Amino acid sequence: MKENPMAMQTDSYDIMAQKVIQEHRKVKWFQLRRLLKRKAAFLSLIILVLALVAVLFAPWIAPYPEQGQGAVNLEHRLQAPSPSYFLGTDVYGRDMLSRVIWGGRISLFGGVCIVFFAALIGVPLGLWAGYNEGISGAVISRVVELFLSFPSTLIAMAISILIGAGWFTAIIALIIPWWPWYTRLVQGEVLSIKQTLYVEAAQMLGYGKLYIIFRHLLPNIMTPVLVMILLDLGPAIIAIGLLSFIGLGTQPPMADWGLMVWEGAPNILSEWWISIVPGCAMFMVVIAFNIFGDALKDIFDSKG
Amino acid sequence: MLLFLCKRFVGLIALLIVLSTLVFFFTRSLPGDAAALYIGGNAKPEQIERARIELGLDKPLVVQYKRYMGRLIHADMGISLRTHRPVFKDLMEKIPMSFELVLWALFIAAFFGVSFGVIAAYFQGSMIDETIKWFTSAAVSIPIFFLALLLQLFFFNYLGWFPLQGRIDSFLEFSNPIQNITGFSMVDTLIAGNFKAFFNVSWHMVLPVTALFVGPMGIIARLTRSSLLDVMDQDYILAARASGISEGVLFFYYGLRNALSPVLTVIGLSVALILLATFYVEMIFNWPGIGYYSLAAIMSLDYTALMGVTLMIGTVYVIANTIMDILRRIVDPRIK
Amino acid sequence: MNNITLNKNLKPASEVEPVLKVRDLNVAFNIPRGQAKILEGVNFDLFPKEILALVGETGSGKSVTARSLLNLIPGRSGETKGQVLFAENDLLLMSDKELQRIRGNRISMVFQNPQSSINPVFTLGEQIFRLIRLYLSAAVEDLKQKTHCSQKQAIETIAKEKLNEVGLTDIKRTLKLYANEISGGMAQRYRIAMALISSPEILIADEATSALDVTVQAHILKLMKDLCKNKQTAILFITHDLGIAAQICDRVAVMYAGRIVEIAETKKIFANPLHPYTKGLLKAVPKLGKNEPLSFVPGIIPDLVNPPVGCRFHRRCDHIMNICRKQKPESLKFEDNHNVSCFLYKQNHKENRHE
Repeated sequence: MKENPMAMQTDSYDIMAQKVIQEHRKVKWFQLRRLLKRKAAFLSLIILVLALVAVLFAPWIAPYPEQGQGAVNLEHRLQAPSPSYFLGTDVYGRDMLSRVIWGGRISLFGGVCIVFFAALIGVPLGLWAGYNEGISGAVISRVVELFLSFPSTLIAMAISILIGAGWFTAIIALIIPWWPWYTRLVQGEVLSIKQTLYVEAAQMLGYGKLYIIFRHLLPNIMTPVLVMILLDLGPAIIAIGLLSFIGLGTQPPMADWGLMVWEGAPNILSEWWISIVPGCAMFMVVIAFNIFGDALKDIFDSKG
Repeated sequence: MLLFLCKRFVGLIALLIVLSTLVFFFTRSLPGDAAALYIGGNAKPEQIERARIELGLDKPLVVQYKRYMGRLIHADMGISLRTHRPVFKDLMEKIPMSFELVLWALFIAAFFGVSFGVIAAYFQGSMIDETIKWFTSAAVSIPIFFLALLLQLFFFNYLGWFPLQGRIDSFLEFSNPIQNITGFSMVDTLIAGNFKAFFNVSWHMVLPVTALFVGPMGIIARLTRSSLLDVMDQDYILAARASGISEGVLFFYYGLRNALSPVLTVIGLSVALILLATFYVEMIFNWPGIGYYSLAAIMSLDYTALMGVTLMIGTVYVIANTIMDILRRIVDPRIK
Repeated sequence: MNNITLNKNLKPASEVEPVLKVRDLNVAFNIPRGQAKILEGVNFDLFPKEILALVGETGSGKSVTARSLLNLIPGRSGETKGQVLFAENDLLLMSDKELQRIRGNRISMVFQNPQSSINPVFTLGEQIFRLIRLYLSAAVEDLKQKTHCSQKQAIETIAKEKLNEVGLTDIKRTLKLYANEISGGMAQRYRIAMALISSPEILIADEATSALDVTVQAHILKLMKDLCKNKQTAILFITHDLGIAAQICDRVAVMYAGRIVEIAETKKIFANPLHPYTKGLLKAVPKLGKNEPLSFVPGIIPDLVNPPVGCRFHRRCDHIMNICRKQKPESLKFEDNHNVSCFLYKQNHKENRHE
């Protein structure tokens, strides 16, 4: 391209520009401060922190911890919200507030587990498949395509039927079609970073594959992966709910938010709170994750 | 183009063969005894044994597989363990009922999704954009089953505008029954001139269709917005602007056409999403379609029906994506 | 002090009115860290029919200068101050609607990456037809009257003629192609044809040949030069390549960190560079047949959020004086058609001049 010797002066600046780009992709504190200046992002962060606190300290925060874990309370069945039962009670007389808090434990923890393990499996495979274009990379790509060519939730349902219903099996069933999304994301990122000068330079200097992967590739894909993790938490929580709602996930007396909505569905017209309370909890947390993730993504994507 | 269609068709056949094989071995490894399920409740051992022979379950797995595949060629998917009717017949009866919902939902989601996305991108950063952003964030965050219940609670119980569930009011079912011509109730009632039933059926469809289209609409709107904004940042838009082309043409003609390709892909993918959502929506709205049928099959481990449902969803999925690929080729000549 | 005047009226020997006068152009972008002062007091004139080169390294603000002339800096919040006078009007004060009538019609632009500046989903024909309908409707009507052909045929005939001018062959086929099906050289010829369709007064070439192979580069340069001579179009030629500037330009303006440090006729600037930065740049150009180490300007361009106080070059300058750290150098007229912004040439520092 720029073979004109007179143009060589500027080439060194291209390398510098690359360095700057590399640096800019890392998380910076002023970026996070900017994030909190957005009202919506700040509000969602508050919702998330509240949910997290409630869930972590459930035994102290829930008014009736044992009911939250499933103990029945038959003399107070189907009570409307009142001072003693803040969000009403369900068909077994259990306090909805306590149930929602304990259900949040299962839903949130499940969501985190799915996304965490999906990323844990998907990211290394993506790094490997992106960096090695040999047979192993091709095999990984094909497997990923196979998974992505069919709706993930349907695959999860099928696996869940096969290995049996339950909270733990539902999580496994959801991780299996979930990790390929991370592999594909990382693979794409790696393919573009691989062509940059600093990776080529490292290759020419004779650094090993693993060194380049961990030293140069991993730090540069961390931001998109983190954003995707954050954006995936909401869908993961919904996905567990979807499985639980049709009886493939959490089993009573334990209940996640999806199952609680299901339990209230027959009484929706009279005792609406049994479904609406956990449904609202789910909706609020998911939308908070989504808005927060979106804001984060916006900030990382914006130039400069 | 013809070559492409042929390739896709061969691909579809291959997928169906792989899928049916997978589903066959998958369902055979399910827990539970199919013959016992077939007979139901308190069956005597000899009854179950007879059912086993009747269903061919006593033969070795390979023989069963051969017979299953052989029958499949003649569109024979076996007998449902739950309804005791041929699965294929069940499916043919249920598919139109669901597709009435699915097609409406898909159409509305695509139309409003793209419109909202375009409006948000055009007014980027304004109040309109913010409002649409909130709205679409909510749309993609609300669990489908929760949305369906909310709709029932609000529009039936509180406002009383729409019926709670079902496909047609029961009194009309006797006075003005739907004649089965195409299976699509709205089309059937129109053809038969049965306007009373037509309006009643349409009325019943409003809430389920709403529950189905909200999520995909949000996804499509968000993608349209970001895809458009991405395109408007490209060199060729800058160059076109520098050559004096008006902002309107730039946005709605140059930009939109470039942005449409990923949007079409997502519209194709949302067919699968909507199909999945019918499981929940049809259950909650008591709509006698394929979703309800699938869910019942899942819950009762009716493996013959499950096989049929899986093959059907696979087929629909491939067809929807093929249609979208054809449209993408028309919109974007780069796709080869 | 009396033989030094401030650079307000830089005119070549022939007393013609410039087509474009840029006065004290300031551009700042808001970035997360603060406000980056990308351009600071840029002044220059562009005269009819001349080719003015704007040279500088990456990040010196040449492209921003070019784009802010037509308010083409998208997606950035920031502010633009100063005056860009074109045909008695200030382009910076114009509304988008008014600017639209100037963009592409009276001031055209050609960009660096020819392929990516052609819309990939429309054929080359569709895109050039639109511009012909926009700018040459009179010619189209004329042709229709003369040859009694349809509107479509008339447009196509004109398109062929225009593409022929830029040396494209087999045009009937070319019109049906898409951007990804043509070479970079073809794409740039096509873009130039598009830019010159309305015979504009000014063509801004923003690194128009930098992405092309050297052989193609030479052709494109010649083409641009010849066409503009025919159409009486002035060119603002933005490049980082001093060689190209030397080849085709009448005058050269050297930019550094958002300011024009030196502006002069091409011959003068190459024969007698004044500003330390210009000297450094010219020294950094390797010479054939001489076996001496490659020289370079030490240091890097300064951070534009917190630019150095005083002269923006002082941290890299060999001739730094106290005043350089405190005051911004004004543009001084060294001789006819040769202005420089450097305290070395201010009268009371004249003794330093030949160091």
